[in-house]
Amino acid sequence: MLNIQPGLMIYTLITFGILLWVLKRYAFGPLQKIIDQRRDAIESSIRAAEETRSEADRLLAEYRQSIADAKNEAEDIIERARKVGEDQKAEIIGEAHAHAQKEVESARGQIQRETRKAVQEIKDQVADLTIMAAGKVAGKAITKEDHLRLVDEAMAEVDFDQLAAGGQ
Amino acid sequence: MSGQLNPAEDFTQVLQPLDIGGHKLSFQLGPLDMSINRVVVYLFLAAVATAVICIGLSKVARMLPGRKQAAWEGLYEYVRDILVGAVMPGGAAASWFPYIASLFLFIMISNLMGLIPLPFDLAAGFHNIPEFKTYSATANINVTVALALLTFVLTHYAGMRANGVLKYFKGWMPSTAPPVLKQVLFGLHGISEIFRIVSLSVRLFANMASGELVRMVFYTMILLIQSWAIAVLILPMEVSVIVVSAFEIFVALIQAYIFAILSAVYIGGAIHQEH
Repeated sequence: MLNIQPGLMIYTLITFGILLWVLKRYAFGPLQKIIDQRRDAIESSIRAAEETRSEADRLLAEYRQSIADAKNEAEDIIERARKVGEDQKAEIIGEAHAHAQKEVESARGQIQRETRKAVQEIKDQVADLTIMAAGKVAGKAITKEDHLRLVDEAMAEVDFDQLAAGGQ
Repeated sequence: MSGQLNPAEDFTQVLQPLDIGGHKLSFQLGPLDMSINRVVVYLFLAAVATAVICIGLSKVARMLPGRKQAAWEGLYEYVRDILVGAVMPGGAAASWFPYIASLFLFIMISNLMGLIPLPFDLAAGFHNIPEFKTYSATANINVTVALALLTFVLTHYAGMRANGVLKYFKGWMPSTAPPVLKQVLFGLHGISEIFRIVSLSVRLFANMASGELVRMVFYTMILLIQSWAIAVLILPMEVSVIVVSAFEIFVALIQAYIFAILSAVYIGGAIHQEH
């Protein structure tokens, strides 16, 4: 068992040398490759998961922001609509007031015009009747111009303004 | 039973050239005896077993490891990070890992094969049933010396390559030592380097051979009794064979570990010299 046999040593070295080469090439290499691949895969999936999460966080923040924006906008729109409504209301009311005022004004003008016309007609009729009556009484016709002058003089004494005010 | 039980002879018998069908596998290469004997066959068997197991496990390796692959990767990473990585600087660890790992796996499987009885002696068989014997290539001093020499040569090769020849040998002497002592220290260091071969090889060989011997002695004693009554009486001895065999598993693993880690420490120390 202690015999020195150089041949055996050479066999040992050759055998071990071949084994070393075979193991390095066909066992350790492929295994290390698998381990590296797995590490890379885990690394990339962790990175992907982190990216997805940050993306999700970003999207969530975005959605929250847009919901808040939409809410604000809706409030704005409602506020604006209310304001517009109120403005329109005020405008319509104002317009209606103005219109009514105008109507009243024009009605008043019309009444004055009608009254003035009626007074003129009465004046004319009174003049005609007076001429007729005076002619009958005096038996003598006086010229129409004279009569008109006389009527005007008489009419001047009558207060037509009071009559017009009464017709209002 | 073959009747011829010579435990001591078994160890010389393994060095006899194999006899296959009357044809002796005896070869002579100049002064070298290159005969194929049982030690050589055990060497080949251990190497083939190591290669088949390791390649088989690595071939089926997938991204999602099964139980076998997880165990194999665990062993692989243990050798890479603890056995080699912890005692060598990073770059050296990567390049020396295959050597240390192969050494560890080869010695481990060779040691463990010593626990498996193999049908070897076809000629010595009883009624043509071959005798089952246990033997391990690492229980032969020539094998362990060859491996220790390889580590020795590679240690100094690595040291010289990493530091330069002159600087490497200068590193054998502490720079703070007085000049008179330097030569002495250089000589002492040289002797210690030589004795590393002895300690590496003898440790492994002696552990494996002694286990072999102890088991053989127990077997032989049991077989020598040849009486059921006494066999029952010495039951503890029979049980102790099992205990010794179980202990041998532990020895097989620990010796492979020691040989590999010492090789790593020697090579790592030569690369990264302390001044």
